[in-house]
Amino acid sequence: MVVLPGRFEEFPDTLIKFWFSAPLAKAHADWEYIDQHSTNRLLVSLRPAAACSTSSSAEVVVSFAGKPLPGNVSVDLHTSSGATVGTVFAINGRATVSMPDKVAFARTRHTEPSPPHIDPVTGGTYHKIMHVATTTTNGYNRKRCYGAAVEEA
Amino acid sequence: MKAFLLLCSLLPAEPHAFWLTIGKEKTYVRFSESPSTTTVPGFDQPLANRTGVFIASKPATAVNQLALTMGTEGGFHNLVASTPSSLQDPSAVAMVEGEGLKGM
Repeated sequence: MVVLPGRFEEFPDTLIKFWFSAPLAKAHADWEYIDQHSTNRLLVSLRPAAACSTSSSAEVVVSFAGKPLPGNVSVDLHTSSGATVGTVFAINGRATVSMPDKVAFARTRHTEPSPPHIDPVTGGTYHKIMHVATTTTNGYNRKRCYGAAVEEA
Repeated sequence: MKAFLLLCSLLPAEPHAFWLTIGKEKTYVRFSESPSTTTVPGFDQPLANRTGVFIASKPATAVNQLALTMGTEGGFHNLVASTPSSLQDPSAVAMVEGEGLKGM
């Protein structure tokens, strides 16, 4: 069997769960509402560091089970066209991006140890859970605040 | 073929991801290498059945699930829904997120 990179055969005994988000926020305070209602186990978000019209940086926030993800985790950044623009490392769930106008998507992942469980999909036994999370800065109407707008396909 | 496999072995392994995009008319979930268009692998029906998108729009406290249907883009399947009117308001504040279970 030919195993290609990026295919899931490379992660034996690992359950893979995907989380994704595209929150709509107008002001920094809006994140309180969004955080209160989010239930995604792994969550990555891009948040303007200051007032929308003047901010030249954004904060990358990574949380796991509702709390900042401890340690050092890489976050891949992409433009609205999907091109990779770099990787930042969130330390204890936080990082700063200095080019928010170019960033439209972000992705991270985190592996969680698990006691042996039966995969409900395949029936196999897994010992780890790989969480993969993405976010979209979103917003066809949020361009000034939240980076490159993602236009409708 | 050998060169291709060698190249593959040298590349870092990175699973595909789900990407959510809210447009004025349609909201898309892609299972793709690219965040902006649907590439491999795309959705199949079992995976689509294990995928959900949930919305809460301020000031409401209720969380509602979006009704997704299978669509096609670039020869691969994505998931599509009409964008709720509550998200079309430029002043909207909303939690929009989802999850999908791939399995092992």
